[in-house]
Amino acid sequence: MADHGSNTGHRPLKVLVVEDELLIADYLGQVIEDAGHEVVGIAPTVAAALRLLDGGPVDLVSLDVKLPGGADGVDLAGMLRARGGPPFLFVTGSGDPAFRARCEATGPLAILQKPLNPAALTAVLASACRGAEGGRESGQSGSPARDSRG
Amino acid sequence: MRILIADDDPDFRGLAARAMRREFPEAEILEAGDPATLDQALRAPPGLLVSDLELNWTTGFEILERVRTVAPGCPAVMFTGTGSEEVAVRAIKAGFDDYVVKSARQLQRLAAATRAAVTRAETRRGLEENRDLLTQELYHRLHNNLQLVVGLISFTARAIEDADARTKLQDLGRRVQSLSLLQERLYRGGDFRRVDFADFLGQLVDDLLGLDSRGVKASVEVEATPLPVDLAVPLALVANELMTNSLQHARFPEDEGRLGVRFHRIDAERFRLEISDNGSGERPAEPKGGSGGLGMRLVHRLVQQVGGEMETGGASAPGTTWRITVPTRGIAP
Repeated sequence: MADHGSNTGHRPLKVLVVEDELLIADYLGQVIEDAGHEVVGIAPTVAAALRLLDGGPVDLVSLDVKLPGGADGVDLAGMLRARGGPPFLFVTGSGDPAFRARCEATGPLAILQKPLNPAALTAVLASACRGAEGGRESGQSGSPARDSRG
Repeated sequence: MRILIADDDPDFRGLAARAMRREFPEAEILEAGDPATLDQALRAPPGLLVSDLELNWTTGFEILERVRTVAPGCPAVMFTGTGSEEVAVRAIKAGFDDYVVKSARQLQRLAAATRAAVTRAETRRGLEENRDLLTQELYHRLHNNLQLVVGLISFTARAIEDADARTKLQDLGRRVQSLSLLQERLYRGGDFRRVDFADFLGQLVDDLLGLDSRGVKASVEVEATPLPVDLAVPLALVANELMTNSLQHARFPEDEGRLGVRFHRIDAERFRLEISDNGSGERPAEPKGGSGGLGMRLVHRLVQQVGGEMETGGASAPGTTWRITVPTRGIAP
């Protein structure tokens, strides 16, 4: 909502947003674009996501976990693994530990809780950018400096 | 299912075992007639306990207690010769499902009582699972809706041309976000009445600094304190307002912006929340008139609600420190 920082000095990531609630998808899209990246599509179902993935290059997928139409976000994560990419993260409203464990088992970049902290998503995008560019140090970091926690 | 029969009288133990074998043909029967066989039997959780009241080395109550530590919710029936109304009442109060007087003629009654206890336990488990599912569904819906609210506020803020009005809406978005964060911590903590406030504060600092691009550093000193929800909610909003105030209004020294957050117990009766920064510039301590000082007005109102006191000082000059002292209201250290 505020200034989330921009993606200066990086090639913008092409991000696919998988989310069945379109206003939430739009909001995620806004955060992604504020961070200087590009939303290449919004998919409300796994089937729509697979079509978009076949339709053009995607660098990163943001996955909602609960989706209509049978397969859910965790299933799609498994398919992405099997295809050899692209990397993905979960943005979920579920706090169920069993569900979370299923998400973790797929090896996501992050599991972010709804309502999303925009800075956390920006940080994941920035780190994915660094990963994509071979670990070159970025001038932009989404996570704040911290001294101590008592 | 594993059925544990605890009785030091081998004859009655045998009778009970036969009755159980007839009623639950699939079950594994474990007979405990002395401490060693009981220890052995409790290496895995039983699914049903049939116990005598007075054994020569322990009581049925103690055995039930041990069983429930390895198998919470395990159904249990007392099978005893010490038949009195008083013992029956004690047994039920201690958590036995039923009470059957020992005799060979009562074996049918024992079978019926254990069957009923097992069925009840299964029903209870089913209800608990349903309740957990319902809670998870509600939680999921709540968080999706909160996400929608945050999104709608953000869309509206972007549609407003007036910068001041836009900032106000963005502040509102942050307020909702901080309450959502508290809500999430509440759910994840598993105790729906209390929330670990230290954990919440740490995350709130991360979230707010994440929105700031000046590289302000935070020092966070917080004691792990589970706070009841009715205290945690107002204090969460206060912390959000004061930190947001610092980040918006303090003029920080170049590359050396500092934000301090402390939360600790000062004595048996009081907690203190302290938010400080090393920025200069005039900072509001009191709510202003009009719409300008909304944040501080909220702070004063919320501090008042929890029976707290607020003082402002310049302990770190230049800079501002807010100290909020709140009565513990009997919260254990």
